[in-house]
Amino acid sequence: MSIVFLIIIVAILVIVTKGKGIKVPNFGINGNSLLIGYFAVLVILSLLFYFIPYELTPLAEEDRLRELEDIDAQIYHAANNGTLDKVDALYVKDRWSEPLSGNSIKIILPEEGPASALIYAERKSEKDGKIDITHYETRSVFQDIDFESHQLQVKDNSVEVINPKPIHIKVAGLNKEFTITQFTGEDGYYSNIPFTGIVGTEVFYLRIPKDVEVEGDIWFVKE
Amino acid sequence: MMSLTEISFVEVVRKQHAFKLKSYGGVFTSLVMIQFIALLFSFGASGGMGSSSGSISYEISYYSGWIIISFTYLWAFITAILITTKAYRNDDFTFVSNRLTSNLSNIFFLLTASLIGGVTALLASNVIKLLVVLFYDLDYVIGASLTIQDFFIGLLSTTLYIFMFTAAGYLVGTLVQLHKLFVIIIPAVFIGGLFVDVGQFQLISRISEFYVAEASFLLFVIKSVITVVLLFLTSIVLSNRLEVKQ
Repeated sequence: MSIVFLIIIVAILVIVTKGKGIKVPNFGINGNSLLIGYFAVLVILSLLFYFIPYELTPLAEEDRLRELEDIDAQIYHAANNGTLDKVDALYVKDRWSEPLSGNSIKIILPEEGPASALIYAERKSEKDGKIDITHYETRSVFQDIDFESHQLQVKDNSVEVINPKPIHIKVAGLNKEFTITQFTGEDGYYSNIPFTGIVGTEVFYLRIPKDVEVEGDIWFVKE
Repeated sequence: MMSLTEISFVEVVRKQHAFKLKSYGGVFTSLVMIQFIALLFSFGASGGMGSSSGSISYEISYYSGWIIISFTYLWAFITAILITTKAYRNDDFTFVSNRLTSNLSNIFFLLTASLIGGVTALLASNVIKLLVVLFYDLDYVIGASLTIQDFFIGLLSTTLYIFMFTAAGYLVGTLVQLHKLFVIIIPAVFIGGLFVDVGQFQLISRISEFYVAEASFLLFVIKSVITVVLLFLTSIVLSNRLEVKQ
């Protein structure tokens, strides 16, 4: 852009040295009337900008994001160490049991892999013919927007993990002009508003009867 | 007698300024046109990014008025060069005037034009955001609301930046009127300045940082006012030599 500007300026300099120089053409338009009309349109549209009902999505606060990251890390470690039972009940989204009819179950994961869920299992000491499922979840936060969770379905002796519907979000960031941000302590020249957030952790913890064989890719924390 | 002379001097400058505001309509036609072109450019995003995590993906496009403001700088610079040319200078002969009244009325005209450029550039920046919100298919809009205080800080700083560009353009125009060789020298100095290192930075970056990296509004005002005064003062002194030469 600056090269184009430079070329334009050099061209202007060359032109102004020729003969008597040039005046800015007004293209047969009364410049002052045009300016008044232009100004009026700008004022009306600017006022409209402040009155149209659109909502600015609030920025996710840094402290809150850090707090959520810590919780995610705690749950992840607890899952790996087999200590999920000690995790705060606040993060238990659901807890239920499903009866099993045979001696084996098949774990079906989405073809592309679980979007952001971890699946762990533990062997129960009992042979009670049912699978116990606990769904742990921390919040996904993108500028304070919530998203749907993974689902786990037990059907015909198979456990299927279903990814949430893919979401594509289109966001417009309305930046303040650099002649303002330079003095307001916001990020400086040409900076953009940060679009921050985290995708929460989801863990499905399966407690499988002692005598049931498992087919599929699953991590046992307690055999 | 002294007071009479002062009044007539001020009166001449005032009349010339009023005349220029009335008759230099082309300057404002070009401002409207250049801002309209910049508006079209700005309607495409000024930047963007995208990412995905799990089943969530997003794309974000950023909009602001920086293209409009930059184009207005260019307009200001060129306008200031043009009004130093004979085509404009000859208008001053319709008044009982001297080089100083002509220069002062030009400076006041450029100040008025800078203020108009600053106000319209900031308002046009709001128009881009309005059009984006109204016509783009968006899930979310992020950003901070512009407060009245922000608007006035932006208005004053944008006007001062534009006025600095007019002061620089006026000096360049005066130099070129002084000798045609400056048509080559000035771009050469500018291009050289992009590459010549001063400390660890290029000269041009160093100069622009002196203003754009200034976070204190008061210091920025002081810096820009001093710059403008120095540039116009140099132009006035040089244009007196121009008169002698001609």
